[in-house]
Amino acid sequence: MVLDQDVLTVLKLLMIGESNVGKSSILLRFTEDEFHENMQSTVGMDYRTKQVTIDGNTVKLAIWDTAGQERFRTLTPSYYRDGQGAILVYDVTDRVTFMKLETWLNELNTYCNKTDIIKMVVGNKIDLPNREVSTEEGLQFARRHQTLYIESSAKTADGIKCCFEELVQKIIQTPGLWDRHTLINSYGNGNMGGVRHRGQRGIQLADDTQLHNRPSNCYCSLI
Amino acid sequence: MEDVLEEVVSSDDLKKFERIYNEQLRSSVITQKAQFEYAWCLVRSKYSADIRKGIMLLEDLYCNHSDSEKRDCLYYLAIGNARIKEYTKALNYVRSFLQVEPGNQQVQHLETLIKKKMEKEGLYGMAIAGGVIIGIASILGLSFAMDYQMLSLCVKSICEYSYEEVLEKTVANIVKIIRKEKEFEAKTNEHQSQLNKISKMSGIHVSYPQFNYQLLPKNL
Repeated sequence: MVLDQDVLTVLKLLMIGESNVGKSSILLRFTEDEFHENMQSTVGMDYRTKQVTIDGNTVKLAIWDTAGQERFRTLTPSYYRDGQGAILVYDVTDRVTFMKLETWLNELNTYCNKTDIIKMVVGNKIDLPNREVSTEEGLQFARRHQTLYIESSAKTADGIKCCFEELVQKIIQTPGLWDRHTLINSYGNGNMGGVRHRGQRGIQLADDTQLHNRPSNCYCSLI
Repeated sequence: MEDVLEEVVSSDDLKKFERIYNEQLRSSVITQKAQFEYAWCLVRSKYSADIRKGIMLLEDLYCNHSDSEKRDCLYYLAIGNARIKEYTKALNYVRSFLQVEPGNQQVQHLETLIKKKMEKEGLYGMAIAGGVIIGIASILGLSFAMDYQMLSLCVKSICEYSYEEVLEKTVANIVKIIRKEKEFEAKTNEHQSQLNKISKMSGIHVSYPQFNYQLLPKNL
């Protein structure tokens, strides 16, 4: 196990989308490398963590798996706060779940306080024969909303690892979306340390590692 | 935050759903939705009084809900009870859930979380109980040898788990015991010498009452 000191940061990821599209299955494949044919619907919320190393950076992922069912709709948005990455899942064999993505995206934009949250659209269940939504349509949607796109199958493990890796990579490459301090503050659910969390995007005077990395913006005259 | 049992509801959410519930309470028509949402917030509160209230609301819902919503109640009843350390109840709820859906990953995961928590706290409780036993024994004035035997036994069993807290407590206890033991010895010596003086002066043989080990219960 990697010690906490070696972890660059903790990232909060959200899994959203209609009921029965495979959010929990994707998560289970990713965290435990398992697949269960008869997954029951998630009650309210589930939470898993996993450490991954991408490009030499070890990050801890705090992943919130939301219930897609209508009756949890009023309470789940509270979990969106402070999310740094969102995985929007639809079922490629069910057009309705694809059309509903628009609603989910709106909800995410309404309730998530981070405007630059990285979004990943995932077309799941590509192992099934009766496909209703083509890759082209999925890609088009992703392009229109400036999100990442991938197709996956939790059953065959296709695209699952890639989905998380690409998302994390993009988050790490987005300055201002994350920082080392997330680890010291209570991480995961922003509900816990909300006040301390909010000021993080301002100037950090104490963090000298960041100062060193930044190119100097003053210039010397050579005369 | 490491798992679902540690997650805390934001006060904004709690207030919001409390208001909705109270408004309905006043109009005397409480929808199941409002009651469930309020209860869901309550069981995730950091105050045990809130959690208990949430549990009551969920229990009430459980009796009046249709089957699909019964599972929601069971799940959050398990979480609520685990959070106020009613582990046996929590596990019972988990088990009755798993009876209906044996393969449910989310609930299986919750079960391991509760068991882990129990283990952690059970150990902690044992360490304190161990310290108390040693403490009582030393006050009773057991011989050094016997104490150390017991101590080493206790320390051995505790060390196997190497919890820092437990060790710290044990070390503190050992120090306390040795101090008490020395005090006791000094006092006994003092009493003995006084008694010796009295018997010399009066000519009557007075002996210091010896501690009767036979009276101690065999298993501590």
